[in-house]
Amino acid sequence: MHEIIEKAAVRGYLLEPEAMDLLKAYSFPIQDHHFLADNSTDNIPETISYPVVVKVVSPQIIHKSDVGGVKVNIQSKVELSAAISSMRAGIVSQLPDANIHGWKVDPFVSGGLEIILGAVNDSQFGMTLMLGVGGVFTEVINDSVFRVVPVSEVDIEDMISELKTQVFFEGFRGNKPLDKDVLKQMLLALNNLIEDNPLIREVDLNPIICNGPEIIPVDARIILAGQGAA
Amino acid sequence: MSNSFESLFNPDSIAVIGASAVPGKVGYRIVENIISKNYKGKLHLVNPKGGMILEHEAVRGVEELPENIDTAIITTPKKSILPLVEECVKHGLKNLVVFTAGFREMGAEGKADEARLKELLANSNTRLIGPNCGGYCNPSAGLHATFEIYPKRGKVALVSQSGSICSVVTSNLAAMNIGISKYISLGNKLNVNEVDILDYLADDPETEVIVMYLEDVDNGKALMESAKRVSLKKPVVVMKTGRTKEGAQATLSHTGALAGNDKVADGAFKQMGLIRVDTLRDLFNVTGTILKIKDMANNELAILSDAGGPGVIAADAASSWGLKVSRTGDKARAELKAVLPDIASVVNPIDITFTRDISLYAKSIAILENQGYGAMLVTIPSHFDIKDEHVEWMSRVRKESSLPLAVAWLCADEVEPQKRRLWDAGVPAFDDPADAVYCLSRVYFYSEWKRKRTLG
Repeated sequence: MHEIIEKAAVRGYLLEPEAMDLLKAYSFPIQDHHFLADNSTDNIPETISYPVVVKVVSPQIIHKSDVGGVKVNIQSKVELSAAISSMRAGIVSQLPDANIHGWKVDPFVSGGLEIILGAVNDSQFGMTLMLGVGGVFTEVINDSVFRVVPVSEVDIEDMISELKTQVFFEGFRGNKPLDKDVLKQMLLALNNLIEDNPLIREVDLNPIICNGPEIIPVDARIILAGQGAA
Repeated sequence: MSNSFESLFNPDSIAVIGASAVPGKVGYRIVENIISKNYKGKLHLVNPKGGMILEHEAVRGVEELPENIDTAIITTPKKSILPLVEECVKHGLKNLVVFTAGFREMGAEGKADEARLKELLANSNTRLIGPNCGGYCNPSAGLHATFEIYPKRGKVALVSQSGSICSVVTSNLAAMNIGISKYISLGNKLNVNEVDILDYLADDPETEVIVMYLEDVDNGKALMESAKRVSLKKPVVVMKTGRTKEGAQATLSHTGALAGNDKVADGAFKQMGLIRVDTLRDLFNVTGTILKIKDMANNELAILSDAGGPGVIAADAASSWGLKVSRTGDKARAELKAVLPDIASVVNPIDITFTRDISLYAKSIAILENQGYGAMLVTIPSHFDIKDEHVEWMSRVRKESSLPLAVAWLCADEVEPQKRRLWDAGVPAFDDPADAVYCLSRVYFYSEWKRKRTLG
């Protein structure tokens, strides 16, 4: 079992930076991020290139957007600083007991096809992988496929070709056709992640922004056994 | 496991515990059924009063039976079951087929009784089918241990969680002149479940196609292990009910089972190469089709029609079900144009137009045969009184050609006997082109699944 999971076992879920680090260890194409500790947000590094997304990192906050904990398309250092200040104020007033570790700053990716990759524990079949189209709209679009861990390469090829909205994958509105080999590798990596770490009960990579060979998870939740999940 | 399922399906000896001399009673009818089908093994009857039942002498208890009886059919009342099973285990009976109801499907007390039954069976070689099961049959052994319809002997095996479905499948396959190798109704699946039977049927030389009717899946992981192996050997057609919450609720009251997340089950079934269907009609049609057409090399469908309409219906269905209706190649088109009337369409669907000239069909197929299609569908709305001639040329094509052939013959009432003969000749015959296409698409799904996982 990976040490990131061991360390987070007591908490029952991974914080987003931890989840991203774990995914990176499994060769997911994770963007480099900057982490600004909450007590040092006056010193925003010059090395950050814009636009960015900023997200709060706190063990008490799993659903960041619910508390104004995510701001996107920030264009400058000044804007970033102001965003953090106002987000902090808003969160403190809503959740006064939340312990804010700091702020995760990622490059802002937009304009691609949004897909979702996940894993969930099924009462009959055990851990299952899910691939869906639509990012936050996945439940509405209702185009998703499941397979049971462990999956083979052939199973993954079947998953990808089973999606109903194949037309999205062919490229549209200036988007390059999705590189299915890259997606396949990602699903294999997710399979390995689940197989290696039996403590994982749920994985939610949503959205994943796709543009040709660039398939980038911009958010990640990983929930471990004992945290309310089955 | 020293107790192979051979002792269940080909028992040297059977005991009916709860045999009765009173016509109409469960214990009478089962004995009558077993005797009437010429079961060749040794039949023992158990009735506490002893005496003669249907010219067989009944003993008064299990203790009077010889040791190691292969299979016992148990129809005694619920309150007798626990001590009876304990006795049977002690006497080394190998398989107990328990018809008696009143267990898990009846609530908490029944559940507790099942738990006790499980304990009794643990650490023994005795297996229990049921409780609350509908029995089973094996026509090749003349074995009819059930109230359901006795089938003619054939190549399709059925594993069902419902007894009546056994009759339903038997009679509907019989309409296509398709017989059964074995069927079994599992009831509450306390001890023996579909995975156990699947494993046995995979290696059964009498069985070419397996059909499963399930209301729940007890052990998904075990099913996955087993099914992947079985699907590589022979096709498995599955109907699993309880898709919707309402359906699942009905299942709860039928056998006390709970259906899981159906989308996951759907994915899992595909992963295992199981061919899932949603309606009984699809169950019969797909089973029949895959029995006659074992493989489709690709998903290219050639459609040959004598009228435009049905050809288009078939082409529409093809696009819904992942089959391609690709244009005929230049050379084929030229050859078709040379033999067909001027007004014929030769693109695919190939519409030879209304004709009484039977030879046009054979000529068209001879041209299309080696064009790389995976299957051909012939649609005929009418027959112009040449229905038997149609059967003849189709049967001949099926025998001489390597191209899988299916027929949609639309004037149902007129051609029932002919369609039956076509099934016999290995040509699936349907009323509706869409049904034919759907069934072919399932054959393709299975063929592809198998091909991708069998590469050398």
